[in-house]
Amino acid sequence: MLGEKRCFEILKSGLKLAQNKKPDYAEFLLLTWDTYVTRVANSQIHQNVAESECYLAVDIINNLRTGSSATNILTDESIRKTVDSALDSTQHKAELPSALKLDSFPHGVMPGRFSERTASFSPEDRARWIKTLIDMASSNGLTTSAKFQTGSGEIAVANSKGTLAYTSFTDANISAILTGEHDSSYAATASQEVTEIDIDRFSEDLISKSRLQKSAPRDLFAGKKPGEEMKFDVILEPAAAAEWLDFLSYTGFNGLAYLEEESFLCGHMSEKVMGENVTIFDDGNNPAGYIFPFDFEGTPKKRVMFIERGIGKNVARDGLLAAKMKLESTGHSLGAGQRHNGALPLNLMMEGGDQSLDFMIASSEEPTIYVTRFHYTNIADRKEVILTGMTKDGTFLVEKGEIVCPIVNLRYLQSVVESFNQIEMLSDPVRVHDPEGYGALIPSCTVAPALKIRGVRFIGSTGK
Amino acid sequence: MVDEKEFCERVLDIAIRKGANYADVRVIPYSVSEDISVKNGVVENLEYSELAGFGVRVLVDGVWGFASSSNPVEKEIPRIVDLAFRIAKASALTRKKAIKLSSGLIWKNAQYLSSFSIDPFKVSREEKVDLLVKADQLMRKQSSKVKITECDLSFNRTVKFFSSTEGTNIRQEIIISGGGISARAVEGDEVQTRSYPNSFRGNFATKGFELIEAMNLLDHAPRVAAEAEELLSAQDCPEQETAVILMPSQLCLQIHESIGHAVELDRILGSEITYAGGSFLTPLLSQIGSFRYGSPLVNITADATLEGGLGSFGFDDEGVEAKKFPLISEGIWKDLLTSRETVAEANEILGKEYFHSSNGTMRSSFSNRIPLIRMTNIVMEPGETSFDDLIASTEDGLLLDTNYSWSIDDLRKNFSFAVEVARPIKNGKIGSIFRNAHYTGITPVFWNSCDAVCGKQWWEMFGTPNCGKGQPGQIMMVGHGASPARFRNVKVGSKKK
Repeated sequence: MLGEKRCFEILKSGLKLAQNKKPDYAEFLLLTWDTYVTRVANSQIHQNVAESECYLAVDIINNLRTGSSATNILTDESIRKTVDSALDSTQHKAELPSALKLDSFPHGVMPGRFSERTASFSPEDRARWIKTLIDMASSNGLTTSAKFQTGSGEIAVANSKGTLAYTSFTDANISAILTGEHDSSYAATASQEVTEIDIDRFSEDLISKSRLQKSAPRDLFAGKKPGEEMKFDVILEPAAAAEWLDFLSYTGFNGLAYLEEESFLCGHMSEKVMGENVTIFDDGNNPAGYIFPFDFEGTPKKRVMFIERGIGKNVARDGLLAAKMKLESTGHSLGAGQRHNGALPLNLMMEGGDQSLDFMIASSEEPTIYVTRFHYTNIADRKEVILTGMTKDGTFLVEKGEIVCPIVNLRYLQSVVESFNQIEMLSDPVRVHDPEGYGALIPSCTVAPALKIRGVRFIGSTGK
Repeated sequence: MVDEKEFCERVLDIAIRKGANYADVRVIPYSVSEDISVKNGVVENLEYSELAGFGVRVLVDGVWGFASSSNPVEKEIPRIVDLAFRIAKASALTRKKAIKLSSGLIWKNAQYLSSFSIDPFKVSREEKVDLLVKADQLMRKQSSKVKITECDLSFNRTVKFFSSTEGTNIRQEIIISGGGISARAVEGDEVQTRSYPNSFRGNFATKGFELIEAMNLLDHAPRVAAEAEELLSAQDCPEQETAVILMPSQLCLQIHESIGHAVELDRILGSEITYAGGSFLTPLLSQIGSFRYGSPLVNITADATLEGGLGSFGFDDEGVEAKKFPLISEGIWKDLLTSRETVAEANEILGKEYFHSSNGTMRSSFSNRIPLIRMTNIVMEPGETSFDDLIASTEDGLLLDTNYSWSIDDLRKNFSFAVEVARPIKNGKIGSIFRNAHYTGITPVFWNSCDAVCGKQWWEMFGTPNCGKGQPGQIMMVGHGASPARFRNVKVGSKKK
């Protein structure tokens, strides 16, 4: 952590260097993060790491020509070099079609959710919590695999239009897979305040779920002819629902995909595209998710509705997409150096309903597949948001109101847009956050309910 | 920053003084990247980045600790080494057995520089942008239905130092180049894409700008756009079980997903259960050396020494020299991708010394990540069939080219791939194209159905620059090579059914 004062010093010094060359626009994004990940395999910590990182990205626009540069070296010399490199990059031939359209220029500290206890959670603390989980699982004959991450981060943005904004935040998330005689079970939980995580309860709940793996999983594709497919109603736990939601957002709510006619919303804005029980929005100020007060251009976050009672309402925009679409930025910039990737919601939320998971199971008379989560989901078709992936860590057959047996993992091939027209039940939404951690720590997560959906297409199983 | 070698020595001195059983340090004084993207005639991205850092791994009382910093300066050394120690001590709280490292050679002052003819950082930006703008123009000129054109170039130069308490110290400098073009045609709700030389930003290799020159992007641009338009009015691929011929770029990804990841020993031992997954080979470990993975035509080699391969290097991030070894010989599973730590563990499970030492596959994406077992260049050796004979001998089948999307289960067994283009083959002749094709299968069944592999003349290398693994996540660059090959009785259909 550099602190707001040092972050502002760095941004101001960079901005001054850039403005000496009088570009039309200069923008600086500074990210810092300290993260700690404790990882468990075969019921012992096998990987345990710490990372202190930073990232300074610069975008310069001059005569509609854009140049970007980035570094993680925060010396005066490196900052000067980074600015010069971005300026130099604006010397090429091709041009942007329009300037950025930014309407908000915040100044000062904008509070995120920062917990001193989370930021200072020690390697020993993480190991003790992990040991609690391992010991409880072992005493139930279960082998533990787990990941426990804690960390803190800062986001600071400055631009030549007057923005100078800073926020800091923390994150704690734990996910675990318990493996028994027959199959595995998964659970995850997260909070920006580590003390809100109850490791004993988390462990007990996961062990309880593991008891559902009471027999060898049945392969629903056993005895099927090659190429034979099946359709089932499904019950998706929030982790599975959130994965579909995130892919829907990635392919459909990105304003760039909309402009390029690759979003399912193209030609259907203000029309009914999903069931009336579907409302999806983004809100960086809602404590049900993570607090993310401004985007990477500095635009303050607000509630942005994408689907309201099944009607297509909006797509995500940054300053460049706002200019192209002659609308306002929705506060979804990915920041300097990333404009070519469009704009994305990072605090996505789906409204829920009043049916519990237990009720979804109890009311399922016909064969229904209960899915804990998905593995390796990918996009088979962007425009129709057709996804394929496997179920994982707890797939069950539900029939006559009960979980009948665990089943072998299934492969689905299904349009999410079609499925979100077939939602029968929704539970209370919960926070879903099990980050992959490829890049900077940012306060992003999804809030999703459990869903019961009619008629999902399954095309195979792990066994077949 | 002080001299890198001296910096490493200071790190290791502290680690030894604190009582490490073993320690190593990786310092990256600089890693520079240049990325240029032209879309619809506009330079949408031109980014130069420079990163640095160091990471320290300590083995204390038989368990690992690791800490890293983006600031490779002297004053950071004690903090980072202390933190790595604290983490190792905390790890010991759950220790069941101590980590044993298999022995390795000591490399004193070793150096490696990847080969290249034209330094990409000495080619002017003007020349690079001109090339992309021209390719972009050619695609857009070809077809009014092509709405989105994308042309990309990427270059990276990374210098890294490795030192260990065993006395090894190594300097490596690796240059990577990549590039490609794609055209997206749109008509109503139909969107179709064609790419060259591969999808997802093209092809990548440890080569210089000569890689880009050899792509002849301008020659291929009109064809790419024309094929994207042609796909708009093509028939959907019919549902069937048939023979498929995978062209090299798609076959390379098939190798990556259904062989490369499956033979990573850390996955087999359970290290990746929380993220990347396991391997269907775990319960079969005792059958290594006899398990039939594929037909006798299937020969798969791991080769980190392959000139130009995206997964080529001099030494891995444990200081083990790059190696070439067979993974699958005439269809029989022979070996795994291993590390110093996993070799001992696997031998213990097997109850014999099947693995003698690490085969040098431990790599990290940067100094802020621990090394993990990663693919090097996993290649399918060429066969003897000519491409003309392969087509002529196919009575009924599909030729599948250029990946659109991929997915495989956590055991690397049930896979699904969609491709940009499928071409039907009837009685030895290639017909008009199909769109929206995808195929699925089960790994050992699929590889055992291989009944023809083309010869060396048709063998091509492709880099996979986006291989994800680990928590926190690491993107690794790995390489593959293959010539066209035929597989029987594969389930094929339209992803849009």
